[in-house]
Amino acid sequence: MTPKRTYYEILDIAEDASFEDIHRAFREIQSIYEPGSLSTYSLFSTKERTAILTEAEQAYQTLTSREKRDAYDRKLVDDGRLSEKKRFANKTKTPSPVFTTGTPEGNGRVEKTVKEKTAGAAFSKLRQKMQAKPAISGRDLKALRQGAKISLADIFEMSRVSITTLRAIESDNTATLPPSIYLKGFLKSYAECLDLDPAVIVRGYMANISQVS
Amino acid sequence: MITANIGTLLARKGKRVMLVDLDLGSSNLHTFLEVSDSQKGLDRFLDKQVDALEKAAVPTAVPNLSFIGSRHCGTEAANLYTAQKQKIIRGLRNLDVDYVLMDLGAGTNFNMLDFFLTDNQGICILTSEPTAIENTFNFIKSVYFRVVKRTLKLSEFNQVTKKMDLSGNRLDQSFLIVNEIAKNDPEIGARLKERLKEFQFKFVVNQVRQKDDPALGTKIEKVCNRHFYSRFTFLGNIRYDEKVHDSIQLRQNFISRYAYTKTANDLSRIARNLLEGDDKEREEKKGAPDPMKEGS
Repeated sequence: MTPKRTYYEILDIAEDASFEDIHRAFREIQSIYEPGSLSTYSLFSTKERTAILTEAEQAYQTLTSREKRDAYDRKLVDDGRLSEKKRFANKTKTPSPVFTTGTPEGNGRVEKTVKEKTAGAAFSKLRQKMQAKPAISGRDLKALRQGAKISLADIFEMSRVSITTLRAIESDNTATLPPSIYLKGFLKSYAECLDLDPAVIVRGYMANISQVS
Repeated sequence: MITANIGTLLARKGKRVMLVDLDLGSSNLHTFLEVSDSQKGLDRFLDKQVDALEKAAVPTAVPNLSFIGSRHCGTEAANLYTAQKQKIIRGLRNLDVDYVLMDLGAGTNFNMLDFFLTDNQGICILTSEPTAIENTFNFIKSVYFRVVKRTLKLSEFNQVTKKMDLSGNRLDQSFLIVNEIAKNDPEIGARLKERLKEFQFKFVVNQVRQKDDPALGTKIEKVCNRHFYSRFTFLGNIRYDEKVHDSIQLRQNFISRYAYTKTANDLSRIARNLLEGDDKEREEKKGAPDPMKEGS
């Protein structure tokens, strides 16, 4: 017995067709089999045409839903009608990251290294000393960071605050600092990276800025 | 008109082309080829004045292009005896040329279908009008039915059709006949599908106007390839042009009279598609030397 046609055969597309291809194929079938279509009106009865369109619609609905398509493909693989290699899920590309920092191991490793560097007793002592000050400058932050041998790139990797902004923060250059509403957010992120108390750092830094101004 | 023009274009490409007017009883292909009124053709072959169809051919003004006319075959020539028809088909198959273009009239009578089935490919010319499209589908269905009847022995045919539930449809109207046969008798069904798979329909949409759907040919190609077992190829559209009428009035070949028109470009593209398709097919078959035969 001839096996039932797959949804891919019904829409006349490849098994790894993109969603755009599926959409295009379905639109074409609609235009070919719609009522009154010149190319088929004399070849099929209304009943036959409706059956073809219903079948195509079903294929379209399944293949344009990622979950349904994945389940359908798995079934085809189980039935031996599709190879595992050709499954759309295996062909889907992950989008390239917008930022590339030359750290192929990923952010997890950076976080782990920074945490190790901030976990020592020496760092803890310096941290307490700095946080006890009523005004915290950018230079204080820089000294703490450099003392722990943490680079600005690591802070960027963890916080996603641009290196330019981080430099401006550490240099206390009020002219290049972002507006205070954003600055507070950036300081909070910076503090979290070095395991500092964000509230204390924000308060101390803003106090220092007002003194400098 | 299209047979004469495509033939001219193929001959200009260096192919040895034979045009045969098989629209018996209504022949008019000679009109475009500027051959003499007294020039005889197919009648000489049927009357045994010549022993080979090739000898009934006359050269035309276009190098490489020869012509076998049928205007002297008489008014009842359309109703050929079976023996005469078979003689013509044998003669056609023995022609030593690159392309044989048969100009067939409209309709689905046995002679027409059998001439069309002389080789494994044929060209259908239609327009964008619903009636023309319907006639084309009817023609394809008739060809299929003819192939079914010719492939099966009478006893097999009767045995198979006895089992079929055609739900009140007339047998010869059902293009699904092959599916039905395959369902009831897989072995015979497979044999028929093999035979039909060998056959290739090519088609051209003629007189395409601006408001017509330019994708109609592609859609028909798609539909046919989905539902029939043979291969269907759309060769292209030919734009409507008043100058075609002018060239017919002048009794001249359009491509020679109006070479620099959009319609002439369309014809050239179709001839090119035809040649490229055949070259590709030959490559696939690894250089099989069979001459192609075309009917329109």
